[in-house]
Amino acid sequence: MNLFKVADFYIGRIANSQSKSSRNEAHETRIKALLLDKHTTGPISMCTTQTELLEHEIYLIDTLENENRDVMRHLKCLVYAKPTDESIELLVKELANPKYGEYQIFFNNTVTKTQLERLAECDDLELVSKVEEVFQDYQILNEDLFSLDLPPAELFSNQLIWEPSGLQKTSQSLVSLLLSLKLKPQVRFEAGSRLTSKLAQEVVHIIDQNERTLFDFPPMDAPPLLLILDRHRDALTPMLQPWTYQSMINEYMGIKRNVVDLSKVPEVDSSMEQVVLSAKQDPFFHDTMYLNFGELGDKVKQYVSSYKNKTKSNSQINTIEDIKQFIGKFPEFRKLSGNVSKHMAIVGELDRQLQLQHIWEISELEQNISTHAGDSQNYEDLQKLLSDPKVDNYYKLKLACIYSLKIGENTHTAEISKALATQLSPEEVNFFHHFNNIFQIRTRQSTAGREREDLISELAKKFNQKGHHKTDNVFMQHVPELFAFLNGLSKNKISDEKYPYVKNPVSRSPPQDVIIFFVGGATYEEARVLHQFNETMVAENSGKMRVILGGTSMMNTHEFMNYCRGSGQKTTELSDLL
Amino acid sequence: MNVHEVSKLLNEHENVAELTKGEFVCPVCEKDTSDLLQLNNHLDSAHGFAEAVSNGNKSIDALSKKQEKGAEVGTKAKFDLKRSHWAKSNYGQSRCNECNIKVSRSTGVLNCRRCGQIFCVRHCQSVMRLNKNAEYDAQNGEWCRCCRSCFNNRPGYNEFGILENRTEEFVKLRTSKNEDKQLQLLQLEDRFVRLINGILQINRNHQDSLLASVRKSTEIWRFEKSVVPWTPDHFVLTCCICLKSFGLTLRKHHCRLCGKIVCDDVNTNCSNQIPVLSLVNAASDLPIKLPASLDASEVSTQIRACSICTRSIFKKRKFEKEMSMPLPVIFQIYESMYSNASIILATISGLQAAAGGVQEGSQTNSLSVSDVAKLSKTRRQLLNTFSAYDRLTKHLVSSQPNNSSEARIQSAIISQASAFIQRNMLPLKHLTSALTSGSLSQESTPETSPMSTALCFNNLSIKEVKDYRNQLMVIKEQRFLVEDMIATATKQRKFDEATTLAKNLEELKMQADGLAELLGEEGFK
Repeated sequence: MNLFKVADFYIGRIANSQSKSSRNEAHETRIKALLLDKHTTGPISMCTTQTELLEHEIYLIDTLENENRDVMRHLKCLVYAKPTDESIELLVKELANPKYGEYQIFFNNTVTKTQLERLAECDDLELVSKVEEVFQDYQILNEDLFSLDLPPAELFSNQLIWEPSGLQKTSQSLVSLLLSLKLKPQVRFEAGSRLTSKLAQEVVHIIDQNERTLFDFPPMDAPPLLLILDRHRDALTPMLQPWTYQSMINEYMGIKRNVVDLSKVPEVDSSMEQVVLSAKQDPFFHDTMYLNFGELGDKVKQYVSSYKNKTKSNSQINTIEDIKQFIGKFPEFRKLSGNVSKHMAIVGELDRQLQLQHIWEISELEQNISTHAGDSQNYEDLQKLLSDPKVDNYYKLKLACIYSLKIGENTHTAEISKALATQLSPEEVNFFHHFNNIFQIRTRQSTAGREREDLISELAKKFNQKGHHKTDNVFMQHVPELFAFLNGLSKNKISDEKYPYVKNPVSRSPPQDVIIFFVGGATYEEARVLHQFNETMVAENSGKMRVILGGTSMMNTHEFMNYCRGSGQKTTELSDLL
Repeated sequence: MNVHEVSKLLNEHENVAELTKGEFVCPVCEKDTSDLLQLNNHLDSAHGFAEAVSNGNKSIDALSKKQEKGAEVGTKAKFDLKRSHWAKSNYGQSRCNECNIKVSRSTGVLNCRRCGQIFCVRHCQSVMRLNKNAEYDAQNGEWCRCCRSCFNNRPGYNEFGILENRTEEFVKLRTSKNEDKQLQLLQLEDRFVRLINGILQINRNHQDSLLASVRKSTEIWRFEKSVVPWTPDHFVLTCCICLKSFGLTLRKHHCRLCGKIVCDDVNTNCSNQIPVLSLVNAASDLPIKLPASLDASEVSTQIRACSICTRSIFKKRKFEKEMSMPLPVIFQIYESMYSNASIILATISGLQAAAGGVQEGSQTNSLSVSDVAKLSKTRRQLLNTFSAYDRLTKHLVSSQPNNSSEARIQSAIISQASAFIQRNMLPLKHLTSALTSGSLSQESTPETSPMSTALCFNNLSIKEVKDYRNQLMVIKEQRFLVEDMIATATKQRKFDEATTLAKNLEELKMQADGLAELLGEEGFK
C-alpha cells in the first residue's frame, strides 16, 4: 500500500508502452512526446521528474490544451488524460488534425462507451494504436497520503449537501484509488453526516456496477475497509497552528502540487522563487517532514554542517586522485548545495513568519484551550491577546472560535464578541456567531444520542492518550482525534452505530488494509499522526494494519476558516428534505 | 450510574492499564490477556490454535492445561489443522526464523501454521485464514497464526496497479465507423477520377478547334453536371458548411465532387478553385490518364471543390506523404547517439568486470601482459565511442531546429547527453586509474622484455608513452569538464563552487603540462 510504488508502476507503464504497428522502420524515431491535460499534469509532476521521463526517451512534454503545438509527424505521442468531456473534445480535435504520427492514449479513470465512440469516430486515419485505462485519478502527496485537490467550494452547496458534479468527481476519483490498490472494500461512513453517507452509497454503487469486470479481485481473508469521515467531526485539528515541517510549510507558504512558492519571501534568490518539495525525490525532506520545529532546527544544522564538511574536503585537493574523486562527487555535491540552500530558505521564512505573527504566544494559548478546557487562566490569556494590537485580526478571530468551540456557549461569549467588535469588521464578528451556530448545532445533535457512551469512551481515550503519548511540548499538546480513532480501529473497537456499514459486512474480522477519507479536506497534521501509526504498526505489530489517508483537499487553517464561512448558511431542515 | 456501569467502567479501566503495560492482545478477537502465556492459552483454546510446542508441554502449568482441555472439545472437533510440516523446536536451541534469537520461555515459541517454521511469539503475531492442509483459504479457512513473511506473501496482499486495455473495443468501434466512411471515400474518389479524366478528354478534343474556349466551357459544364447531380439553386439559402446566407456579395457555387452548394468566402475557405494539375499530383495513386504533354489551357484548368471533399480525399494522402519524408536532422543525430550510447553501456559493464580482475591481479601480481593489452584495447575503443558520442552531441548543438518543438527536443537531448557523459565517463576514470596502476605494477618489475627497451622515444618505452598519453587524455577531458562546470557555476552565481573549481583547474593544467613535457614530441599536437 505504498502509493509511490503505484505511481511508479503506472508511469513506467505509460512511458514504456510499445507500439505494435510500426509503419516504416526507416523513418521511425525512438523519441516520444507526452501530452497531458490540466488534470493529469499535477499527478504526473508530483511523482516523477523530467530527468526520469528523459530516461524513457520522452523528450517533448506538452499539454492538450495548447493549440499551437508544432506538427511533428515522426514522433510517437503518448497521451495521458482524464476522461472528462472537455479533454475528450480536445482529443477529438487533435485526432481530426493530427500533429504526430501515432497516438497511444491513456486515461486515468474509466472511459465511458460514448466517449470511446466519439474518439473512434474521428480517428479516420487510424492513428490510435492503444487505448488503456490506468487508475490514478488522484494526487499522491506522501507514500500514505493522497488528495483529490478539489476545493470544497466546488463540491458542496452550503457545505451540507453535495453538488451532483462534485459527488460524481469525488466518488470516481475514490474508486480509481481503490482500483489502483486492487481493493474491494467494505464501506463505512459517519452516522449523522449526510455528506459521508451519500458518498459511501455512491462508491458502493459504482463498485457493485463493476463487480464482474474491474473489481474482480480474489477475495481477501480480511476484507479491506474504506472509512469516509466528515471534516466537521474534528474541527479543532485544522484550526490549530501546526508545528511539524510539512504542515508548517503548508500553513505559512502553501504547498500546491509539491511546489512551494517562495517569491514573497524577502531577499530570496531568484532561482528559488518556486521550489519543489517531494518526499520521494528529496531524502532530507523525507526524513524531516514529520519532525517538529525544534527537531527540525537540529536536523537542518546537521545538514548544513555535513555540507560544510564536504566543501572543506573539496577545497583540499592536492593530488590528481583528489581531483578524480572530486569530479566523481561533483554532481551529487551540486545537488546537495541546492538542496541545502532550499531548506535553509524555507526554514528561515518559517521562523520569520513565526516571529512576525507572534505565533508562539498564539499557539501556546490555542493548545492550552484545546487540551485544558477548564483552566480559568485561558480566558485571561485570551483577553490579553484579543486586546493586543500586534496580533493579526485573523488570529484573534480564530482564537475566539477555538475558545467557543471548546468551552461552548457561556457567559464569556458575549464579552468575547464585544472584544472582537472593537477591532474587527462587522462581517468578521458575524462569522464568529455563525461559526458558533454551526458547531453548537452539531454538538447538540451528536451528543443527544450518545451521551452515556461518551463518558466512558472519553475516559478510555484519555488513558490511551496518556499511555501512548507523553508530550512535554507545549505546542503539540493537542492530538488529532484521528489518533484515538486509529487506535480503536486497530483493536476493532469502532462501534457500528457511529460508523455504520453501507451494506451488511461479509466479515467483521479486524481489517488489514484501511483507507480513511476526509470529506471536506484532511490536514498534514493528521497525515503525520497516520504515518506514525503506520510505523508503529510495522515495528510492533508486524504490519497488522496498513492505513492510507486521503481527503478532498489538503487544508491549512485559512482554508478551513473559509470552508466554515460558506458552511450551513441555510437551515438544516432544507437539506433534510433533499 | 448503576453498579453495572461502574463495573464496566472499571473493566475498561483495567484493560487500558494492561494495554499500556504489555500489549498482549489477542490478534483474532482483540481480547486482552495479562501475559504471554495467557495469550497463548487463549489462542489455543478459544481459536483452535494448536498448542505451542510438543516438547514445551511441560512448561505449561497444569492449571492452564486443564482450562485448555475444557475448551478444546468444542473447537478442535471442528478444525483439525495439519501439523506434520511443523519444525521441531527446543527451548534454548532452536532459533526464531525472523530475529534469530534462541527461543526460550521468555520469548515463547510458536510454529507458523502455514510454513511450519519456528518463531518467537513476537514474530508470529499475524493471522491468516488457513484450511486443514495449512493452505491459504480466504473464504472458508479458519484464523490461524502465521509469520510475517507468510502474511505478506498471501496472494493479493501486495498487489496494485490495475490496467484496463480498451484498445480492442476502440478498434472495433473505429472499424465499424470507418467502413461507412471508406465507402463514401471510394465513391468520391471514383467521381474525382471520372471528373478529371473527362475534363482532360474534353480539353484534348478541342485542342485544335478555333472556337474551343466557348464550346469547351459549356461542354465541361454539362459534363460536370453529369458526374454528380447538382443541388438546385433555389432549394438552398445558406452555405452548407459555414451556414452563412447567400446574397449579392456571397454567391452560390457548386462543389464539382459532391454537388452541394457552398460559398467561396476566402475567410472560411468553404470552396476553392483548384488547378487540375495540382490535384492530379497530390493523388498520384489514382488511375488518371494524364496525357504525355500538357498545353497551357490544360495547365490552367481549374475545378471547384468544397473543403469537405478535398479534405476527405487528400487528408490521408498528405499525411502519408509527410510520414515518408526523411527524419529531421536532430532525430537522425539522436538515433546514432542512441546506438553509440548503448555500445558504451555494454562495453563499460564488460570492462568493469574485467577491471575488478585487474585490481585483483595487481595485488597478486599474476596478470599477464596480454590481458592488459586486451583491456587497454577495449578501453581505447570505448574512448573512441565516447569521442564519437561527444562529436555527435556537438553536431546536435550546432544544428538548427526547424520549429520551437524541435528546439525543445534538442535542448532536452543535450541535457540528457551531458548527464550521460557525466555519469559514464566518471566510472571510466576510476577504471583507467585501476588499469594504469595495474600496468604500472607490471612495469616496476625489472625490465625483462627487450622490445620495450629497444624502442625508445624520448627516453620512454612504448608502454610509458602510451600510459602518459592516456593520462594526458584523461586530464584533458577532465579539464574540459571542469571548465564547463565553472561556466555553469558562475552563471548560477555560485561563486564558492566556482573558486574551488578554478583551483582544480589550475592543478589539472599543471599536471597536463608536466605530462606534456615528459612526452615531448610524442605528445598530442
